[in-house]
Amino acid sequence: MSQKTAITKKLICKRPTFRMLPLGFCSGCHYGIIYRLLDEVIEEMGIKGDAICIGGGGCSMIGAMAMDIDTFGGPHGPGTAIASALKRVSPNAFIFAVQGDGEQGAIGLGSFVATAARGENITVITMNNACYGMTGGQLAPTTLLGMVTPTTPEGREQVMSGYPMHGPELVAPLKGVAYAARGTVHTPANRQKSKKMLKTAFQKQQQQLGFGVFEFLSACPTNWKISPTDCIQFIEEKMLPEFPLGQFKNIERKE
Amino acid sequence: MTERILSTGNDAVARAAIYAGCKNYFGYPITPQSEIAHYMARELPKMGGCFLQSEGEYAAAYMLLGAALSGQRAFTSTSSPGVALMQEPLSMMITAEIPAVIVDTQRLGPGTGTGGQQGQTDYSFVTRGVYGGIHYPVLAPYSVSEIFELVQLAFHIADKYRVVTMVLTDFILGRMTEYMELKTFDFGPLPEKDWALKGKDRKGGRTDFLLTVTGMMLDIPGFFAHQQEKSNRIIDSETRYETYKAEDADFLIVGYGYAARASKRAVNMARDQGIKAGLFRPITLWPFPKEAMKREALKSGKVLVVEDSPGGLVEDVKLAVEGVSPVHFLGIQARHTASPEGLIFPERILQEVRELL
Amino acid sequence: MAVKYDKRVRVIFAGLGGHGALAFGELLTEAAARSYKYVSFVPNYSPMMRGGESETMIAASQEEIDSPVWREADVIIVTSPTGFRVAEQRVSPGGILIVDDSVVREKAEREDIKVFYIPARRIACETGDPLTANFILMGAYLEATKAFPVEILEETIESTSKGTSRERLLSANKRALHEGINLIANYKEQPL
Ligand SMILES: Cc1ncc(C[n+]2csc(CCOP(=O)(O)OP(=O)(O)O)c2C)c(N)n1
Ligand code: SF4
Repeated sequence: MSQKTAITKKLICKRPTFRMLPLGFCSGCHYGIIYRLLDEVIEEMGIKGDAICIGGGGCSMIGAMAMDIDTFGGPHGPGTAIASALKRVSPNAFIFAVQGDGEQGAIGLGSFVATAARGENITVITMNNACYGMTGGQLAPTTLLGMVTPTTPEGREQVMSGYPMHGPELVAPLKGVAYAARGTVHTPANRQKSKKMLKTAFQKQQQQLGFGVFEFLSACPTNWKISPTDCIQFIEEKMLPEFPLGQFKNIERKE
Repeated sequence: MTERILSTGNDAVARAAIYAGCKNYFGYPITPQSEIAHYMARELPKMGGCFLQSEGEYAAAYMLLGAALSGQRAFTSTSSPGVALMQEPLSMMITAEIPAVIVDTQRLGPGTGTGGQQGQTDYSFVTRGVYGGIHYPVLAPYSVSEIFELVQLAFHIADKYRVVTMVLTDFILGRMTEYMELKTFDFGPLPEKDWALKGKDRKGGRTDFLLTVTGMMLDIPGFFAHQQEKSNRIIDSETRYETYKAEDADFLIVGYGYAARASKRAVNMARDQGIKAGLFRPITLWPFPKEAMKREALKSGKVLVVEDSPGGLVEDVKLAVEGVSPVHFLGIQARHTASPEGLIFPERILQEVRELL
Repeated sequence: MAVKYDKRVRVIFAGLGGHGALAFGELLTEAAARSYKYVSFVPNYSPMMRGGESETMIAASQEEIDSPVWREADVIIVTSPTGFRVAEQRVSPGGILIVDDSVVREKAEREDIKVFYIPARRIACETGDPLTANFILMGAYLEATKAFPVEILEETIESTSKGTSRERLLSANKRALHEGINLIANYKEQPL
């Protein structure tokens, strides 16, 4: 009994509040970890009262529903357009959009790139699980070459479906972009690094430096059809060589 | 002998397209019809066809247009929010008279709806034509074997009239498994596609200019007169419906899709209890079988429209019946919500019939 | 097998996502298709709610099936605690309710139906393969209804799992099937 109290006292970070628990993700999905990070960072930055989340139309929406902040969600793809306008008409609010890699790189690509090019002062969080999670794991722009999905039954081939797309690297050269980076949460150390980068991405919006995008690599055991532990290995061995971690752009002040 | 196989409705769509000689598929994943794309992704490359997952529904419909320009058969499939995004390209295809087939496996709307929810909420939206005031044919099967037949018919109608043709199914029809017979249907001869864009050297020197800019057309009244004449031909030749135990019915249930199946059972249950119920089922939602509807309504005296929506079909039925008999409505609020998604069950329809007697 | 079936089959499996309602339905449909002229199978579940209510409806008949969906079924197999009361209401009078009572704690109240309590999940876990729970229930269903001979089911399990990932579970599944049959064959009414 007393031992339990001792452990509680030692906690270095308190559990953030959620509006709705449990989160409805599959077991072994990393989205839960990512949403917890998001919530931790929002609480630590003290912006819970200003923050508004524009959720996407994939599995990412499930987490958006649960966050204890103002939220809109559902449409598949146009999150960055919605966030742009909301930020323009309410500049004091803290606006971030959460998108699946599918919606960002395919149906919402036009909006994503245009928003970055306009240098909208919002933050975009991308969940890269190399597939369309919610609809059953089909080819996403981020799917690795050779990866088998229901719409690439023989594995992704460049002649049929092109090459994997890299969201943060794609927009990093645009002048309107203040921050572009990628992280992962598949090990505790990476989780801490990602949290730091996530915070930096958010700070760019507070400093009004322009568009920020932070991409998380994430496991989707349901659609990869492997165990959660094998997913860690998959990220390590297959995802990391294709999707390098780190900051691709980090602007400190406006030119 | 034709082969009789077990198939889901979605697989029946894909198989039918291949049986109709269509080797080109463009689409974007959306529940509850992604299985159609999965089937095409497996089969088309083997037959030298073209399978392409697009970057969204808007692009999928323009890819459809692009492939159809070649004169080859092409099709796409999607579900409710996807159909909304395809509206502009559909209007373009109708204007330039480019034939293609689109399958809408309805899910519950409005908004994103949910992928796993049954619904028949697209009726009004897809049967009123595209912006610009032109209608396109909409076929509504109610079983797996009928899906297989009507998708093939849709390709025929599309080519015959140079029009976009839609097949409207729903979550239940798409996901359910039934027997069907594998065969190619012969619907008769088709005009040659001499308008297709192939390069003039391949067309004996003929060139075609397929235009979607109605305003640039030299004769705007002429354009609409031509479209009207075409619509009239479709109405005259392609209107389809079916009745079940309606000959001596004094209570007529009207429905399409899965609601028609539930209604059919309600008719049988009612008959077991000595109630003379019958079923009227439009197979083409546009053109709507107005005259037959009115005739049957007049004969039976009482009409109940069953539809898993806030009301779409019921408006067409009321228009057709023109007040000759009362039209009642059993809609989405009659869903039995205890099952995961809620459905309108035959038992509920029977209860309504008994109350209205 | 030249057995004549003129009985009508109308079954619902109501469970939670992951309980194998889908596999149960697919298997029963395949098996039914070997003895009946018409079959229908409707899976009804929400992919958004992982672990949410899921239900499959299976029908088989020598005559054309008017509707593949219905409120009332002759047999309902229920493994969902939240769906239990509704499932009980949906059994047609004189019908059968099979309950996985290692998951569902409640007891049925209706007296015009036959109820069997089978701890399928617990037994499946004890044998080391929780995924076979729905096969135990399938066995129970077969024995309680005599809808098909077990051989047809065994044939179907073999032919549908050949070359798939399920092949690994073949013998475990067959064992589970017989486990279910025995549970019903030796079934003793539980004191209320
Ligand atoms: C207009 C429209 N098209 C398609 C869909 C179906 N849909 C829902 S989620 C999704 C893909 C999700 O993949 P991703 O964006 O990578 O997110 P994840 O589920 O992996 O988080 C699709 C195609 C939709 N909801 N709306
Ligand atoms: S489908 Fe994939 S992304 Fe969606 S909740 Fe499950 S594991 Fe996560």
